[in-house]
This record gives sequence, structure tokens and C-alpha cells, in this order.
Amino acid sequence: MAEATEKNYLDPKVLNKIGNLELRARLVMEGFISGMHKSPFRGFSVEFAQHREYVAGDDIRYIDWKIFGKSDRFYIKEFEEETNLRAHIFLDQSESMAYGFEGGVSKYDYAATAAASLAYMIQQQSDAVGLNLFHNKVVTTIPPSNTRANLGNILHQISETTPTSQTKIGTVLQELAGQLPRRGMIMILSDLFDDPEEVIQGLHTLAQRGHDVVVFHIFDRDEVEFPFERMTLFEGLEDMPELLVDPRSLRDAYLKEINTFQEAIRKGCLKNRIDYVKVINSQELDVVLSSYLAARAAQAKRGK
Amino acid sequence: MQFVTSALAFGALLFAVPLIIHLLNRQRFRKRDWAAMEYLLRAYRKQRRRLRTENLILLILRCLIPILLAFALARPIFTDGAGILPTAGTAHHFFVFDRSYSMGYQPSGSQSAHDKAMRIATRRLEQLEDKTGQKVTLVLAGIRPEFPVRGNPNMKLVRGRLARMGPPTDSAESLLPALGQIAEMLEEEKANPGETLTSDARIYLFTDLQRNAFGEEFLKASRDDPKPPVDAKTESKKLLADSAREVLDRLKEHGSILVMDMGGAAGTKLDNVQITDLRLERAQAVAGVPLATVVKVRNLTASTQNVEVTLEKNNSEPSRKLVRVEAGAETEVHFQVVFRTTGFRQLKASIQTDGLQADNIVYRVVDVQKRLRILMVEGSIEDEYALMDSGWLRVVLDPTRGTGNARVTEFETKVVDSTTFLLGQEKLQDYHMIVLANVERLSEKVADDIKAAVQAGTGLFVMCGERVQPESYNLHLFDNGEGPLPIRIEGFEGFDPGGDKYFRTQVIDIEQPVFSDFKESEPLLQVLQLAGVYRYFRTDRESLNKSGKILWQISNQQLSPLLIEGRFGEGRTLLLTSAITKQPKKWNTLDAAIHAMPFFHPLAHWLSHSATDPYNTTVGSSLTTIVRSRPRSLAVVLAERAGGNKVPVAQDGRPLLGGLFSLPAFTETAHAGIYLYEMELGETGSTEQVRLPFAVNPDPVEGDLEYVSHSIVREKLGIENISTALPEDFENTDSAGRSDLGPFLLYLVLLFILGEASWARFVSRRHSR
Repeated sequence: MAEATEKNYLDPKVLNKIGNLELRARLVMEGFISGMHKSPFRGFSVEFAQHREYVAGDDIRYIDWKIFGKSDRFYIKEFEEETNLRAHIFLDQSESMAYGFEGGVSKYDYAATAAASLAYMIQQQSDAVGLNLFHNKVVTTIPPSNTRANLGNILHQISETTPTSQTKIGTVLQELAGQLPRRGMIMILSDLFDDPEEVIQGLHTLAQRGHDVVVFHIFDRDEVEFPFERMTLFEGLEDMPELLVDPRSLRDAYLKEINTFQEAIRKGCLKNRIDYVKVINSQELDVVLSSYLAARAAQAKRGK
Repeated sequence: MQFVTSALAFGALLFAVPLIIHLLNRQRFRKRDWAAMEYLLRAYRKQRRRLRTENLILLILRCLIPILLAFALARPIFTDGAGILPTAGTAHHFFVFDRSYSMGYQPSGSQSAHDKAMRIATRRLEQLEDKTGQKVTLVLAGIRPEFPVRGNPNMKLVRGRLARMGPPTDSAESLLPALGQIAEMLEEEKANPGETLTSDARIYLFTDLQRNAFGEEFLKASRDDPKPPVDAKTESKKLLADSAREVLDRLKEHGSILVMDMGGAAGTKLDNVQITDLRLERAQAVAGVPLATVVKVRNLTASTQNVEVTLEKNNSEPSRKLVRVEAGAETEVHFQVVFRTTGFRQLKASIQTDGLQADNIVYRVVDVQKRLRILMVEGSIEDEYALMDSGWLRVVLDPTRGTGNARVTEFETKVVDSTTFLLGQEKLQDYHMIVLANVERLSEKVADDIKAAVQAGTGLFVMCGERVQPESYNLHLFDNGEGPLPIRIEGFEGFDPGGDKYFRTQVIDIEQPVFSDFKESEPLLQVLQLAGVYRYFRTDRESLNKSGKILWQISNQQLSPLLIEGRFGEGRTLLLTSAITKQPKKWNTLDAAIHAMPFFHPLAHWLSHSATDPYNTTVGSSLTTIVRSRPRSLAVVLAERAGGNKVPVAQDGRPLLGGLFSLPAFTETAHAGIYLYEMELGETGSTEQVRLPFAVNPDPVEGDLEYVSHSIVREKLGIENISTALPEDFENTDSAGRSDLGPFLLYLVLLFILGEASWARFVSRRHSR
């Protein structure tokens, strides 16, 4: 049963497309396992890479004073060391994630598939991957590991979970930031239906601690299109009130509100140098992930 | 506010349908879990007021549509304080046609006012044919207004009826009786509104504005004519004219009045020559006796006219005379007519044809007698003819004692003694005149016979003498003022007959035909009044009945009446309170030939003729007379101008005293000419076919072609709308000035439907963006 569920999440079509790409972090991550990843922690690496001329904004700690003594110029020492990626997947299992448009998958299922795909891919690269399920608090934590068993454990946990309870993602991110002792990559898959300021504050805390944070902002197709025509009684999830309304009359206003919310999150991420990926559950997941990873790889090359 | 079809107004309750649909739609919704509820609620809170406003407007529009549609179909009508009629609903057009004969005036080369009215009325009906909410009443104004079509919305039918309307009648009646009836109709309709309420009455008066159109006195009033009315007929017209403004004001309360001046001669006078009268010199015609006949011709032109007057007698060879009539003058043309045989004969006077034909011919029916029969009831017991109470009267009237040639005397007298008379064996209706000469008393039976005969037209002459017992006369003939005797008789008084003391007399009413000879000769009158009266019967002046009139009185202190006129039914009566005889102890000296001859002849002629002449009447009058036995199979052959058809008369004759019968009144006499009343007279098995001719002539007043100006009509009658043709923009007024909100509401409904659709589309597009 578990195997079937895992297969369900690890759609070969999705994995095939992602497998053809190399997951390359834009920043060098701190890791225990040497590999193809570059360490994000310059100055701690075992292998000197090169000198380059100082430019404004560089950390003066890395100025090579010996060269300055000889040439009266500022040069920066750069180190390079490939290390294992330590990735954390934060998957939102609040009740709002249970919504899915007719004929489609729920946001949770969609996000779970994406999380499983990413976990699988990371594990395939021999990098460590962990999982945190949360709603208004952290419900499940699986520490990062690059073992096959750990991946199975992650996939099992995802498949066993059903969305429930209210979201308090801002608080949860604050809580998780304190629990992660080492910097790594954090991939958040959530609709982020919470106070945007609190959400951004949580993301800010994570980013401030040196984590490479990627936000997969999950939307249902209905939530971004609001295609309803008939009189509808909207029954709010997560203990929200209900509303009987002609949806056509509110479409414009609603879309404006939802866009405002999404834009607030996007700008918050940008401000904190967090990757922001808007995901709609009607989109092909492989396209979404491969597009993002391709863009991220290109960004990493430019950084090199 | 009223509704033309109030039942449809309840359709306004359909306004609930959109509300119900709205509520049902709110019940029919889909349930959906929703994650992004916070953002939906936030959008709702911001849009709540706008959404409510949009939906409220849409709901109001949808509710108003059935309300307005129901009201539009029910057709509300408003009455405003400014006096606009209950307007709307249905416009009721009254086409009132002046049917007087001046409408037929047709100058050479042009059409008559009647033809013009027909053409314009037809055109107007064609205009109304395409319109809804219109109904038409045709009114033929005459002595008896006719309404051949009442409130009919079928214009084709109305046009068909209009096309069948004949030429104008020969009446001279004004429009007022018809307008009065229309006013009553509208007032009744307003008081008792039915299913279809007249909201806007439009009264079209098709008239030539001849001076008599709104009553003769109206024109006089407009000229400030100081001449007061002189008789009852004029007084009646004066009252009618006084009410002209009132009638028109009543009509204006219900709608508008448009005078269609079809004559086109307002304020002017047109030429016309007419015959105003065909008169016999004496009332009775006697076979073989020449009768002076007078034809009166009036020249209503501005120049002297040579007029050829033709007189025909029973379609025989006509007599012609050419006379010269001065402008504005009336001339008498004299003919001598001799009727060879007895019975009803016809005379027809005519002049050459001019623009107005109706008054160019006048008819007269003459009842030709062999003799005028007089029954003299002798009260005395004298054997000597000359000394009888009736003797001198008989000598004067019938010197040959009923055996002479008619050229010598027209009277045929018969004398019976009072005893024989009281046996009641005389058939009194066979006499033209009955003389009670000093008859002592009367029995009830004989009195009833006298009453029946007088009522049927026989004259009664009562000469009082010493034998007369007043109580018997008062009981049977005065009958408390209800009998043929016009005044109560008391005892006689005066001086000794033949003595030195006497009273002179005084003629009070010289115009009375009895005194016609004295009127012509002043010396003769003076001599008459110098005659002496020794004795006479007192009478009670206070008892004079309604028809009684004192003609001649005694110059004593009490001015005692000497000759009193009365009328009973169709018969005339005369009471002489002092008998005229040749007896030695005579009561007066009136037996002198110089008095008696000019007095007795006119008296006998006057009494022998009925008070009314039922056979010669005017247009619009009823045709009736008294016949001697029960009439059966009654029918009237109409005059030639009326079509000449035979019209059966459904009613029976009305029985009268003495076995007489009154013919049912035949009133369809709108045209001039000779009408023949046909009947069978007598009991079954011995009936005879009788045809009684009646001459019906027009009133000459209508031939005075003087036309009222528009300014006078406006000023005196307050009618502003006067037109000589159908106004070009008249069709547009069919809906103007009306408070019929029906069409307006229909447009409003259409507007609301478009508004609702546009608003719904606007809202929908707003939502779908």
C-alpha cells in the first residue's frame, strides 16, 4: 500500500524530467558529504580557489593582507569546497491545503508530490534531505539524511498525512528556525494562508540564519481564477465563516485581494533573497520543478 | 385616478414574481468548501455596498416592469384640477350634424354645406380608423335628435352608416336639443362609469352657422336686439337661447368642442327667395264657392326680384302669377280657387328653383265641404220663424233655409226645438257648429254629446235669454271650469227690454276673427259699440277658465262680459250673455242688420273651424286627428322628400268621448310634403278605406340665410375652435392633451425592459471582467 502511494507521488514522468537536470545550488551549501555542490561558506573551505580584486561590499575579513603589503592593492581570497546539500522540506498540512478544484488534485496532494519529488531527487544526489510537516505547529520532523531508508520514511510520512487544523505558518517558521542548528536549504511548500507580515517575518528569520530558502507558494486553480458562475455558498475551511454570494459579482475584487496577498509574499521573499515560486495545482508539476531548477542552475552558473 | 379597465390593474401584483424568483434563486445555490475565505470575505466587505445597490436597482427594475405593464393595460385616467376632463381611456367622438334645411343650400357650381360636412366627417373617420381607443357617436340634430350610432369603435361601420344618411331634413331646429342630450349622456356616464369610460369627449358640430343654428334668440342677443318676445313660442325660444351657453359649458366640462363651419359664409348673408305662407281667406272651403287664397313670398336678397308664383290644385292645371318683390320685402299673391267636389283637397304653391329648395314649395290640405252645417237648438216655443231666438241668426246665415245655392250661402242650418234636442237623437259630430239659442236647460246625456262633439272640433255658440237656467249650464257645460263653457253664468240683470235705459258695449279684442269686419271698418266698430244692451246675464269673472277670454263687454260699472271665447278640445266656444233676436222684448239692439250681418258671418266661420288644424302643420310636428270610428290597419305614406315609403303604425287609435278615436301621433315628419295617413274605418264587415292627407311645411325662419360670424360664436358661446376645414394637424391631436397614461406607460415599460437588460448586461460584464 505504501509502495503504491510512493509510486503515486514519484510519478516517473516527473522524476524523469528532473533526473535529467543537475540540481545545483546557487549558493554553496555547507555539508558533510563532498560532492558536486559548492560550499556556501567561504573561508572555511580546505581548498584555496583564487584571488580577485576587492570590490565594495566584500567582507574585509577575506582581504589578503600579504598581497596588500606587497602590491598596495586589496585582493580577496576565495576558497572552494564541494559539500553535501542539507535540505529541509517544510510541507504545510493545514486544512486550507485540502482544497482542490473539480477534476484536479488538492493543493496538499500537489504539494506532497512536489515534496516527494524533490526529496527523491536530493537523495539520488546523495545529499541529505529531511521533512517537517506543520499546520499551526510542527507536527512531524524527520531529520536530514541521505539514506534510502530516510527517503522511504519521508515518503511514507507524506502519504500518511491528511490536511487538518488551522495554519500558523509565521509562528511555525519562527519555531523551526530555532530548531535548525546548521545552515542548509529549506524548501517550503504551502499556500501561506496566514498574515503575510507574520509569514514574511518567519521567512526573514530563516534567511537571516543563513539558510537557502525556497518558497513554493501553492495555489489552487480556483483560487487564482475564481471561475464560478452560479450562486454559491462558500464554506470557509479552517473555521472561517461561510458566505452566500454570486461569485461573478465578487470575482474582480477577490482576485485583486488574492493578488495583493501573493504579491506581498513575493516582495517579502525578494527582499530577503528568498527564491519564490508561484505554483498552481493545475500546472504540470514536472514543468514547474524543472523550470525552477533550470533557472536556479543558470543563476548558479552566473554566480560562479 | 380611475382605470379604463380596472380589472387589469390587479396585474400589478405580478411585481411579486421577480421577488419570488430572486428568493428562489437564493435558495438554489451550490455549496463549496473554500480555502481562501479570508480574501473572499475581504473582497465581499469592500464590495458589499456596491453589490447591494446594483442588485437593488435590478430588482426594482424587474418589479416595476409588471407593475407598469399592468397599469398600462388598465389605462389609468387622471382628472386634474384645471378642469381637463377625465381624459383618456377612450376618446369619444360625437359627430353632430346640423340637419336643418339651410344645410342644403347649394349655390350653383359648388357643393352644399351638407355635402361638405359628409366629406369631412368621412375623412375624419378614416383618420380614426387606424387608432385604438376611439369610439364614435353619430348625432343627427333636429326636432327629435337621432343617434343612429352610439359609442361604436368600428369606424368602417360608422362610415357605412354615415354614407346612408340622407340629405338634410326640412326642419328649422337648432343644435341645442341634440347638444343637451349629449351633455346628459356624458353626465350620466360620468356618474355611472361602466367598463369603458369616456375620457375625452370630442364634439364636432357640423353646421353652416345659419342664424338659427344655436337658437334664433341667440342671434338677437348678439345684436342686442331690444325687441321683447311677443308670444309663448318666442318666449320658449328665448329660454332655449339663454340655455345655449349653459349647454355648451356643460359639454366643455367633458371635452372639447370644434365647430366645423361648413357654410363658409360666416358673418355674411346669402340670397334666398322663399314662400312663407299659403293661407286661405276663410278657414272652410265649400264646394263650388270661390276661395281667396294668399301666397306670401319673401325676398331675402339685396335686390328686387321678379318671382313667378305657381299654385296647383290637386295636380290640376296650375295658375301662375309673376310678382315683383322688393329687396327684403314680403308680398302677398292672391289667387281664387274653386273646389268642385267635397273631401280633402291639396294645394301646392311654388316658386322657381334657387339655391335653397326646401322653402320654394308650400303645401296645404283643404277639407272641402258641401255646406257648413249648423244645428240651431231653439229654446223658445215661438212658431213664427222670425220671432224665434235662433230666427235672426238663421236669417243672416242661411236665408234660403238650407235649400239655396252654395254661392248664396255656405251654411246649411237645421233648427230643432229644445225638447227634441234633449231626446238626444241628433248626431252632433255631423255639425260644424251648434247653437244653443235661449235653451232652458240641458240633460247630462245631451251635455256629454255636446262635449264630445266640441272636443272633436264642432263649434258651440251659446246665446243666453230669459229662459236660460244658469245652474244647468254651470253644472253640465261649465263643469267647474273643465267644460266647454268658459265662464260661470249667474242671474240676468239690466233694464226693461225696449226701454230708455241701456248700456253701450266695448270690443276688447278687435284682433279676434269674429270682429274681422269691424276691424277693417272703424265706423262700423263705432256703430257697434253704440248699440244698446238692455239685459244680460251676469258672469263670474273669477271663474273664467284657462282657455277663456273676454272679447266684448258691457260698459256698465262692472264691465260685465258680453262675449266670451273658450276652447274645449279641438272645438271653439262662444258665450253671448245677451241674445240677439227680433223679438219684441229683445234684450239689445244688436239685431240691426248693420251689426248682425258683419258679426254673425265671421262668428259662424270661426266657430265652424276647429281650434287646431291637424291637417296643416310644420316639419317635426306630430300627425294626428280625431276620426269617427275605430281605425284599423294604420300606416303612413311618407312625403316624397322623405322617400315616399309606406310606414306601418303599430299603435291603435285612442278612444274618446262620443265614440270618437284619436289617431296615434306619427312623428317622423322631418321632411316637408304631403303625408297620407291610411286606415280602415268602421266595424268589421262595413269598413271603408280612408286616406287622410297632412300637409307638412318648413319653418321659413331657416330660409333666412344670415350666418353668425365666428367672433360672435367665440364671444357669446365661448367656443374657441372654429374651422372651415379639417385642420391639417388634427390627426396629431388624437393623443394630445389627454391624460391617458396607458400609451405613456407602455413606452415606460419598454424603457424599463431596455434599462433592465442594459443594467443586467452592465453588471454581468463588470463581474465577468
